[in-house]
Amino acid sequence: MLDVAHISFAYGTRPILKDITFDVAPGEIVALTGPNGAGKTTLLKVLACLLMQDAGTVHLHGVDTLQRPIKYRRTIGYLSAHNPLYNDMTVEEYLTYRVRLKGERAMRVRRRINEALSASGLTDVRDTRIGLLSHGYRKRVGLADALSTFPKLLLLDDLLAGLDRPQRAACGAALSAASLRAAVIATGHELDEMLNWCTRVIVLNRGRIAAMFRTSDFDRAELIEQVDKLLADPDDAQEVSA
Amino acid sequence: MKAIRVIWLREVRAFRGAFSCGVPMVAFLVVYGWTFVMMLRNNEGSVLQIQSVWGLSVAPWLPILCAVLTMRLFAEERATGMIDLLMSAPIRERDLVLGKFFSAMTAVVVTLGLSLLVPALLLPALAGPQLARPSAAAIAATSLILLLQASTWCAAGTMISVLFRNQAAAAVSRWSCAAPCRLPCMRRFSPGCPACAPPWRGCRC
Repeated sequence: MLDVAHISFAYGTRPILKDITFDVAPGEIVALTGPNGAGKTTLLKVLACLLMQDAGTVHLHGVDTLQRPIKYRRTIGYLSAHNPLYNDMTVEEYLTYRVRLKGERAMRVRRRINEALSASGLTDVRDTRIGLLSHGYRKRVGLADALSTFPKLLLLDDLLAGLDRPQRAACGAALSAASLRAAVIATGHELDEMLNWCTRVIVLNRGRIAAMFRTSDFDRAELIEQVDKLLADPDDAQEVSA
Repeated sequence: MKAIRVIWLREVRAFRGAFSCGVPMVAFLVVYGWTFVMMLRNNEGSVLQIQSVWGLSVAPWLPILCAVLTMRLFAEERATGMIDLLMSAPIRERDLVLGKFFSAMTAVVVTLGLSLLVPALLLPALAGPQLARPSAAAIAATSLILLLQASTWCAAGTMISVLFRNQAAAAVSRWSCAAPCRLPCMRRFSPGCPACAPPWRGCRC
């Protein structure tokens, strides 16, 4: 269980996140959406232990990010929005490096890589140099990296950006499979696509949670309409409890 | 330890294929070889100790080599955003720094090893029967001194690389920081070295 309580964060004097509180249960896939500059990436960086919040706490299965960051990081998978990769390595070499870096036991490395490659549909390009891959494949390499060590929390920043429809569907299938053993938080603007697999939508605006919706409680079109309305008219946004 | 080893292996691999490693190493060996030959020419007729000539030929160029080798360590990771991904892994900052530092030192050790080829190949041809057998202990002591110097330069370079996204800026800053303290030291403690008597102007020792 991920428990985020009263998180605030500022770059210098400029506040980015203001009193963010929510929790995510294992098996949930949360779509975090909002306009540019709403604080989605910053929130994910705080949850990935890359930025230290000014106030509030983040616990994953009782482990505090500030008190035991190494143990916390061992249980998360993170995909950055820019999805940086080492272009000189092949897909398999890169994943081997990452899995070893995450402290996986030597005897399990091969198995983990094969599973991650299979889950991300990368088996046919495992020996291809990353520098030669298309944007979509690179994204899937990042996803395979995030999935590789069976994390308890998956943090995926702008997962669907730049992917075509089949690749989006493939990513959705991979996430649905991963959610069987992990909580997933994915940011993005492609709400229509994310509604195919997410169980909850959190709308972030100006550093605050503007609304939370359970997808099971709403009709798809109605939910999209509500989110669009919130984003079009942010001043009217009211916190909606799921 | 495991994380340090993993990062070290990755960086050594990156060095192996990197333009930023091969070219500086070759350039270093060329200028060092030239300095070595010039020192021999300028001291023609006198008795020279090989380890001294080797050490004094290498020492002036070592800071530049270390600056170029270390400039990419963190600057590149910051520029590409890879640093975020690295720090999201369950590793300590010190593991990351040490892994990268040791990779730069590995490149320096390889370069110093190659630099020993110059006296090994040149001296028998130049000095012939007048060449005495060099002392292994003296060579080892000189190597140790050079390695200690290199570790200082690499440590400084690694630290400065953290502060920049641009690799060239990191290298220039690293060299700029070292130059003011480096040159007076060389003048005082290394008489005969190319910095106090550049070989292109003739030796004043």
